Amino acid sequence: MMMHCVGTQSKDDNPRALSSDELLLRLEVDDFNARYANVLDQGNLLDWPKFFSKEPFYKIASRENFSGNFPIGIMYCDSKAMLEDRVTSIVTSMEFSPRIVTHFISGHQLSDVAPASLAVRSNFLLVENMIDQKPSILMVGQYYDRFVREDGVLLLKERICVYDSILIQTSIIFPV
Amino acid sequence: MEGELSTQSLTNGRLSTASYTWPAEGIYRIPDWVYTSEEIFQREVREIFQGKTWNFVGLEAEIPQPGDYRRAQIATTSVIVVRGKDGEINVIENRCAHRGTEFCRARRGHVEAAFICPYHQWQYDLKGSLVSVPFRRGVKGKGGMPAEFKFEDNGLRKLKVATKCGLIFASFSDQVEPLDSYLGPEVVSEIETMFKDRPVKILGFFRQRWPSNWKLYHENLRDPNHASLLHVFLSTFGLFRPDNKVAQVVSACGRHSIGYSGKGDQQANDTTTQMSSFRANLSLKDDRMLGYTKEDEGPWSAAIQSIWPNCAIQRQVNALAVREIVPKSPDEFHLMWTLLGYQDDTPEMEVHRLRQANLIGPGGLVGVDDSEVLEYVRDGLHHSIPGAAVIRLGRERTGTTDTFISEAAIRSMYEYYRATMGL
Repeated sequence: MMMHCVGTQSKDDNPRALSSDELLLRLEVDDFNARYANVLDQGNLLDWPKFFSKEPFYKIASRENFSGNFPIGIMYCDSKAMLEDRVTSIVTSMEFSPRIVTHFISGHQLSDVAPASLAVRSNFLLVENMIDQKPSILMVGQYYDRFVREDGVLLLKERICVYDSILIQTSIIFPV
Repeated sequence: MEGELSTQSLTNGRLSTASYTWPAEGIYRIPDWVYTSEEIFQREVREIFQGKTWNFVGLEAEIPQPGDYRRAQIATTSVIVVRGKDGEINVIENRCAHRGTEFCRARRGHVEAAFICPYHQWQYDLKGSLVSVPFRRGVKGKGGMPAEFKFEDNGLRKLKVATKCGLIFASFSDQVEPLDSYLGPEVVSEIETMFKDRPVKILGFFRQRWPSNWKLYHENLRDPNHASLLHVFLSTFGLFRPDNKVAQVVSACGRHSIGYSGKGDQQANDTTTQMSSFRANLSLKDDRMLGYTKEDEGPWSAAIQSIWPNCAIQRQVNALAVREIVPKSPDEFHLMWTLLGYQDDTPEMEVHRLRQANLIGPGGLVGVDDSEVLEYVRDGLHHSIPGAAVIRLGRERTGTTDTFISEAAIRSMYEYYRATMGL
C-alpha cells in the first residue's frame, strides 16, 4: 500500500526568502510546540488541555486510516471537556507501567496564514523510556494542525496526530 | 549428558521438561510452559491454527469487488483473501510456488485478473492457480521448463473458505466441520445479532503488538471477573459490573465463549465496597462517550466473543469491532482491529461510535489496562521460578455461568486445548 504520494511538491517546498513576519510566526509556533511537549514530557498532563482553543478537535490516527479516509482514532476528542476527561482518566483510572516519553517536534510547514489562524504541519518523534529497557521509538509521524488566535495567543483548534509507525508497540498512554 | 538433553530442552531461554506433564490438579492449574515454550508454540501453530479450525481472515465488506484483496495472517502463515471473478471469496497462501516469495506486499488492494510474483513473474489467477510462467518453452530453442512441468501441480496453496453474515473464515484442513457447527449455536446467534442483514461500515483499523502469549488474550476475554476489578473506568461508570445482569456463555466443546453484560449505573453499594478500584466520586465533564443507543432486542449492552482460535468480536455499548489475533512467538502476538459501524448509521451515530472507541484499542481508557497487564503476566512468568496459574474461582467446574465471579470459561478452554494438543 502506498500511503502517500512520493514526489509531489508544493510551491512552499521550494527554497525562498522569509519575511520577518513569517520568521516571527515560525518562532511562535516553535515556542508553542516546545511548551506543549514540555507539559507532556514533564508529566503535567492536567495542563495539556490549556493548549487548545474553546472548541477543539484532537485525534491520533494511523497513516493508514488518515490516508484511507477512515475516521477512527486511538484517541478522539471533539470537545475541550473530553480532553480534560482523557487526562483526568489517565491519572485516576488507567493501569500502566511507569514510563517517560520525550517529544521531538520539528520541520514546521506553515500554510493558510491569516490574521487569526494558520495551518501547520510538523514532524514528531516520541521516544519511550521504561525503567528496565532500552529507549524505543513509541511513535513517529506528523501533526496536522489548525491554530487560531484567542486573546492574542496561538491555540490549537485542531491537532490530528498522524502516525507512520502503524504497528503500535503495546500501549499509547499519554496524549501525543 | 545425552540423556539429559533428551528429557530437557532449552526453549526460549528457559529450561522446560520435554515431556510437558500437566499439574495433578488438572484444569484448576495452568502450567507456565504453555505460555513460554517455543516447542509448544510450534505445536499450536500446526495442531490448532493449521489444524481442524476456522480462522477469521476478514470481512466481506473489505473486498466488495472482484479483484479486491486484503492480506491476513493465520498465526505464522501469510494469506491473501481475494474476491474472484465469480464473486466467490478465495483464500490463498501468500507464497510463490516457485521460490517461496511472499509476493503480495500491500496490506490491501485490487488486481485485475492475476497476482504476479515480481521475482520471476509467475502468474496466478484469483483462485490461486498458476496461469503463466515466462519463458516456459525457452528462448530460441534453448532453456525453458521440462515438458512434464504442469501448471496444475504448481499453484498456490488454497484454503477452505466459509462465510457467516459477512465474516470470512478459512481453514487449512479439508476435514474441518462446517462453519456453523464449528461456531456452535451461541456464537452463530450473537454474530447474527450484530451482522445479519445489517451491512457494516468500516471505520478504520488499529494494529497493535502485545508482548504476551496469544492464549492469555483469549483467557482475558473469558475472565469477566477482571473486568470490574482491573478496569476502573468500566466499573466506575457502570459499563461492566458484577452486580449487573451478566452471563459468561461457553460453547458445548468449550472452545468459544461470550461474555454478556447489561449496563448499570454509577452507584456505590455492597458490591462496590469490595472493589478497591471503584471511584464513586469520579465523573466525566463530557459524558456523551458513555451514551448507549440500544441496537438489538436482547438484554445485553455488551457482548465480547472469544472465538477459537484467532478471533474476538466486540460490542461494548455502541463501540463495535472485530479483532484478529496473530500469534508471533510464545511471547508475542499482534492484534489487528477493524472498527465498525453500520451503513445505515446517521452521521451523529457514527461520531458517537468514534467517541466511544476511546474506551478500546491501544490508547483505550479501558483497553490500555489489558495490554499493560498481559505484559505484566509475561514478565512474571519469565522473571520467576516456573510455576502454574491458579484457576479456582467459581462453583461450576466448566461451562456457562450466570455470574462473573467465576473462571469456569477459562477451565473450559483448557479442557478443550489439552484434548486438541494431547497434553
